Amino acid sequence: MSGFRRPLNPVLARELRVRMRGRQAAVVLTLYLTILSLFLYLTYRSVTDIAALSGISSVASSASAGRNVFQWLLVVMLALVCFIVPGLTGGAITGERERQTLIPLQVTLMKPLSILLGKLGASVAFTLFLVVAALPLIGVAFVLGGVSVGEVIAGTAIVLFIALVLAVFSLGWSSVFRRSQLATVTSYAITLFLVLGTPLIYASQRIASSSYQGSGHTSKAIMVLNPFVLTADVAGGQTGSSSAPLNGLRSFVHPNSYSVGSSLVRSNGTTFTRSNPVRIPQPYEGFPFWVRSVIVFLGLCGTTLAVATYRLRTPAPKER
Amino acid sequence: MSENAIEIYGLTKRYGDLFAVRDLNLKIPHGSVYGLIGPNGAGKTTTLSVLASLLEPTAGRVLVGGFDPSRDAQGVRRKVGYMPDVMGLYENMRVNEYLQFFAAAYRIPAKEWPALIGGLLELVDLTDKGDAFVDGLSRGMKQRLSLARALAHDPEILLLDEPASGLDPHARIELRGLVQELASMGKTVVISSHILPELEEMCTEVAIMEAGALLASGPPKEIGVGTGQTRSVKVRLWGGSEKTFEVADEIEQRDLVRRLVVDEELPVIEVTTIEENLEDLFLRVTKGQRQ
Repeated sequence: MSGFRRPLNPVLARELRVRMRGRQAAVVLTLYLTILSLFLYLTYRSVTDIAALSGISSVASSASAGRNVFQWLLVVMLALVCFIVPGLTGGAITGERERQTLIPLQVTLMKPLSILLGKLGASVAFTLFLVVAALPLIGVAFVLGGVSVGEVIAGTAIVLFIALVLAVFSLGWSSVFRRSQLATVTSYAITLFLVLGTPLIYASQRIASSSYQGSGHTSKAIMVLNPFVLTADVAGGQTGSSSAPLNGLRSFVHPNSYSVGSSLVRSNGTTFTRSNPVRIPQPYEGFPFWVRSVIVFLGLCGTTLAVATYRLRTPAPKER
Repeated sequence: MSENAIEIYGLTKRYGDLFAVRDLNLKIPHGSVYGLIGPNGAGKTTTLSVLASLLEPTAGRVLVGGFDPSRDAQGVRRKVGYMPDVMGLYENMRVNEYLQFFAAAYRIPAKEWPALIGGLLELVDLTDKGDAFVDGLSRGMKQRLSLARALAHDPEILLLDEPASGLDPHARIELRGLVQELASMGKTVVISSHILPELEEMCTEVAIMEAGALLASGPPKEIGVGTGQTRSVKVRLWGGSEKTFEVADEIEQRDLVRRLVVDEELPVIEVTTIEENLEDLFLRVTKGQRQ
């Protein structure tokens, strides 16, 4: 008799047990690791081939390969998380309604927030499982060099944070709708908006701004909602190859700097190296970009959880 | 402590213009097996949902085990075991795991689970199914497992919404035995059902509802008198002919027999009061209201 012992949330314990028992978890893990491994191989081959053609030294080439591999892995991991989490969580509450298992749960001593946190915990735990499973692949990047332990930890943490955010949003829709299909589609739509909608809005603002004013100043506030920009700001690092995907995104947040090879070049032409770190100028006054992003996401998560808790509360004016 | 397990005062539940329950007043004594009878849409499930602290009433007050579900839902949930009209089981769990899950959800200490689950499985006659997956159980077994779930925290009051729905005759007999066993354990059982003959055997009191309103309530044997309706008396005459008369009560029945035998000098050889069953009573009461 184990698995449901307090203080582990009973819903979390049940979800973990049932999820790991099924074939779905093994299939998702296998596909996930296959895709990541493929990207690891392709990135490594491409970087080493370019280095060989350009005649870059083996040490610099290895560091550049390490950074590229790390950042590509992070980007692909994040993309997979954006794909997997809404699918896993969108039906969390609607599924209980459809199976008619929500009412027996609601008449127990578990409070709505506790039920939601159990569901959320299960989703995040599964993502953690995926991230931990990918650590050996990230280890390859670490062995190649060009990546610090801090960057690996920060990158992994931010992927988990984004998984948590997407899970909360999906859980919110799951508590609002009655059908899993609708909740899941809406969860994917919101994720798509965060990933692709935010840069589109920014681009359209920029086009409109340059058309009317002639100058190109456009607020980047909308981009605090973009998971990839947030990841780039946290784990993009200050040095590295310009072909590393997160470096490009990071230079969007910090336009006063850009990267070439393993050194950082300011827009005034001054070059800084890893041994001579530089404080990157922030585009905004006050908090760094990633802090703003995290605060905004936490605020949205808090609001979503409050709405979801309200939707699950009993006694209710009508059956939900 | 009140002598009633459940008290309902002027309960009304409205959805827009539709009254699901209208001004319902009921008192359900401790230890009784109380039947809620009525056609679909009578308001039985709504009433049970309010008692189970799932639905907020539009008006009126409800006390369940001394707690008002609108003000202290947790207090009510400690006292009440609710079995909805749909089973709502996790099909991909084992029977033992399923009951462990609900024991944890009711905050029962883990050290008590083995004895608790063993006892529950024995009560619902599923002892040999502890390691079976829920989706492999028959419908009757699933219904008994639902009942075990509702009993996980040893509630004083059980609310059973259409528990016999969809069960075969054998499973219904088993369920009836179970309800009677629970009643003998001192639990108050409120049971809604369409299967009236079974309720008649189980229930110490019944309430007949239609269109959200209470038409009659009380012990089944007395409820007909309370409605002011007549009962049937069958008189068999010498030669085999039979006549049926409607009377209001026993006094009227005696007057009838005297009139037939003394005044009309009919050769009466047998007088039988036709015992009205719950189904007849239900039909008579609801028909009366419809007219």
